[in-house]
Amino acid sequence: MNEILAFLFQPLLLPATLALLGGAVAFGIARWWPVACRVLALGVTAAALAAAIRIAAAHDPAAPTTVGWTWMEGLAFHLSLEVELQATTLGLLVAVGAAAFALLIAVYSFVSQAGSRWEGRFHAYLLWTLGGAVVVGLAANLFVLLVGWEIVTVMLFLLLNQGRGDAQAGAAKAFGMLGFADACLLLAVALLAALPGGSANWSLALARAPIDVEAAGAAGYAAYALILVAALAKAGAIPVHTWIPSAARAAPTAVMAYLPAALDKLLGIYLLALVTLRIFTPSWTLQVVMMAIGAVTILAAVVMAMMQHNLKRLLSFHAVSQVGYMVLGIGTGTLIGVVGGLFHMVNHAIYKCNLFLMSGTVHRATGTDDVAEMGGLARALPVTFVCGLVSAAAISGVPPFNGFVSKWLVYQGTLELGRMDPSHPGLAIALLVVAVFGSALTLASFVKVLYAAFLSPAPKDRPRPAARPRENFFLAAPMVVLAVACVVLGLFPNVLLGPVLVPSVPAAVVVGEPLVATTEAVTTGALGIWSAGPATVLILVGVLGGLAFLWVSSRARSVRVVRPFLAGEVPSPTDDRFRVPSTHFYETIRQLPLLGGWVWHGERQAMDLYHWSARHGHTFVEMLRSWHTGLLSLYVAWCLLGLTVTLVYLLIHVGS
Amino acid sequence: MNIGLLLLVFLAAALGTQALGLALRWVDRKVTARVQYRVGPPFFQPVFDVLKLMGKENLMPATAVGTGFLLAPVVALASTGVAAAILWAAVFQPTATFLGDLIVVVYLLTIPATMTILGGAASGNPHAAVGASREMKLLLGYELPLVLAILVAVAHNGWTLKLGDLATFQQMHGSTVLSFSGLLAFLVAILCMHAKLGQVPFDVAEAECEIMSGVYVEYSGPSLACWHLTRAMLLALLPLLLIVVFWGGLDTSVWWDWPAFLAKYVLLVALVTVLRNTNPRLRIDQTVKFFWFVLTPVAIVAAALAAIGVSENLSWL
Repeated sequence: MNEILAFLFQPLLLPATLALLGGAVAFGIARWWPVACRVLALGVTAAALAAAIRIAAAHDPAAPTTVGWTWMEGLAFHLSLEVELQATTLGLLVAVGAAAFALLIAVYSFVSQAGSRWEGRFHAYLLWTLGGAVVVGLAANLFVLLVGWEIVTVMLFLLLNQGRGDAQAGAAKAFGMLGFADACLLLAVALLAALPGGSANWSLALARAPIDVEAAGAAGYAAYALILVAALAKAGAIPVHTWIPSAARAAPTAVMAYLPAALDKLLGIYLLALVTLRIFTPSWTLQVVMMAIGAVTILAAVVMAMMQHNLKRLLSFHAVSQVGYMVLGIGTGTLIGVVGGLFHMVNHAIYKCNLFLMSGTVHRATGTDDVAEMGGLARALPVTFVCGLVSAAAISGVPPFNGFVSKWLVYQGTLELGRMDPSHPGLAIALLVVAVFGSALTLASFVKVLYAAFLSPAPKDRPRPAARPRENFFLAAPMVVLAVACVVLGLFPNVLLGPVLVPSVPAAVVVGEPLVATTEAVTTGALGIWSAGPATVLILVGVLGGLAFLWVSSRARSVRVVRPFLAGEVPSPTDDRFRVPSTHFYETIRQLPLLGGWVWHGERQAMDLYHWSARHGHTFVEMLRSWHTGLLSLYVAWCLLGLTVTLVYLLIHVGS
Repeated sequence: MNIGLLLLVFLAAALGTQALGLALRWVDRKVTARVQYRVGPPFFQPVFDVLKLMGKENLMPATAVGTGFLLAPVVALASTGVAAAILWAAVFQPTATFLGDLIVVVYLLTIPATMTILGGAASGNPHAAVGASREMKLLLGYELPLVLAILVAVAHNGWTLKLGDLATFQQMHGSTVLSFSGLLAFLVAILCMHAKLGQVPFDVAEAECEIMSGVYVEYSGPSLACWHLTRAMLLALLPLLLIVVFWGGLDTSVWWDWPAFLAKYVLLVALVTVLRNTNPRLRIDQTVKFFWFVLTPVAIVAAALAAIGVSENLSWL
């Protein structure tokens, strides 16, 4: 017993143990004392974050801490379970990220979940999710990873289930798709045993060379593809993305902000990085498949996002679209592209979490998720507006925010394909255009969001939950932290690129130009340069100069407020004709040939594998059903037939 | 990096570009006037316009989100200034990598448009809201062919994004426009530049006689002067970007490249004037269709030719 306790409470396991135990306590008292759960969640996530940071501070990439524990070793039959954990640079990033986001969500849900029916359980599940995520980040063995992975999937289902209205359908869809993806991962782990040099108990702690997929043949391709499906489904790339938009409408905001926006990206892309950089060396075909998935994801999802009128659904399509940049970057196999993809994973988690939190605050203020009915919040919620503006600029890749740096790296990783190998310049150009244009479409849809929620006048015929909404510390504080993170990572990308991301990509498996990140500039070999800090100083100098220009201008020291120019019309207080709803913004584009059809089919679930499998699976189930007549003789006959087939197979097999 | 030097380069480039832009504005107005049998304004008229606006009162509509409304033109002006510094540095010091590369410049040059949209949206005026949505659609329209065209040049010139290296490569191996795909891409890029400048026939976001200057309807006084300056700077910068990317930049080592550079520059600006004086305004749907279904296929053809040219080592293609 002491041995087990000592194992659980050693520093490397401490964040996971804390979160899982805290979750258990919260679950126990959930029904009677939800307020205590709130405080407990806050305390435990903070402690887990501190513990994770402590591991990270003591981490030495050259000699990583590894702990192992063999279970059921002494039994007569040889069945042992290796529980192996190791601190790796990238894994620690996932663990620290998971804990940090959990803390922010705990602060936000202090108010946002208060009084909801499932409040206590929400906090318990939040803590268990964190425990699972930390286990995934620190797992040094695919079985351990799978356990953490499953915990997160189940918790996602339980959390999504707590939403309003038809939340159950979305939760079931998410569980169905992710459950399928997890089964793929399990199958892949089993397949690894069949590979030359592979083992079912695949340890990531041993320093071994990655398996060459090409050399491993069909089994290698199958195992790689299965893990790819698991990673992409978690992260939410097309065609296994549809659980995110389906769950978005009804799920609690805090859940969307924590799981699909932040944590699932960290986990999914972490697994993608593991399988691409450490377990396997993908062949060129697989790389092209990954890049194609990335490009299609970017474009298809962002077009859908632009046409959405429900804020949460719009954001969830962006949560899909942005995954495309990560998959594209990692798929290029160039150092710059892979680092860009990983950096985008971190950046995306930050700004998308922030945007979902913003949507929650907007919902509280207006009582709706429909962009046509929001408006007029910029003055009432200035902090939310500024945080939303920063995150929207970051996701659209506006310099000097963090999203720009990672997209810029991904662009260059793609460009390098053309540079290194003169035989596929077309591929490089096509992927790059899709990536850049996807970014412009992202900007377009966030212009719509900002206008709809904050800048446009409020609709006059719609009652609001509060006459004048006000900022709440618990809701605003996490957003401010995340917005500051967007700015800091944008100005000083080197804090993450230099010590964490570049060293975590093994030099042996990537190609291309070097990436040097200093405080002054990020230089990508012969490709390009971006000095975020100095450029921002200049922009600020320019802004100050411009403001001075306004001030110096003789009469501009005070700005006179006048009636807006409406060509002589004076609208009455109830007249809403002078309000241009944001839903009209992109009607022109919807009516264009090609794109309109795309959106039409997209709305009717043409890209939804879940929908298709449900449709055709139903036919299959009906067929099976018709065989179940309830006659004993029929079942016996089936059994005998099966037995005969098995026997014949065995006889032939043994005979040969 | 020496911060003093940095500031000096920035201020020189930003103020110089403003002066140049206002001068070009005069050229544009003078030529337009001559075409229309008018005398046209004196040389300093664009400067007087800005000075006059500076002396006016700054008005803000009651519906506006004040901070955003007033900050938007200033941010647009500042980021255009940084883009100017990067571009001029690439022209005069191609070997020094200064601040950013081609992607950075392209992104910085979209900030004025983004700020126009935000400023217009923040004014709370319905005309401005319609203008803002049009400006956004216009941006989506030209961004696609523009990026394709620029990538053709990047593929031709050694797959680098450093502006100085792009120009130097062309000075050694011949300009991008001398190849078939490069020429196509250049023509596409000229039209995209025209749209980026918001000139007729692509001035849908302003459309004075329809939505009363659209995004700018509520701006007055010094804030409007900021917009005038920003647009003047863009008029000076976009031809420069095109020359650096497609037309060999400026080879400072030989004397005859100076007049050649000047001729190219004047030609591109004159083209803007001619185009805007000979075309009626398009509707927004026509504009987007033109960029997506006419120019983009042309740019795709150019990109395909460039891809073949690069992989088969046929530099003329």
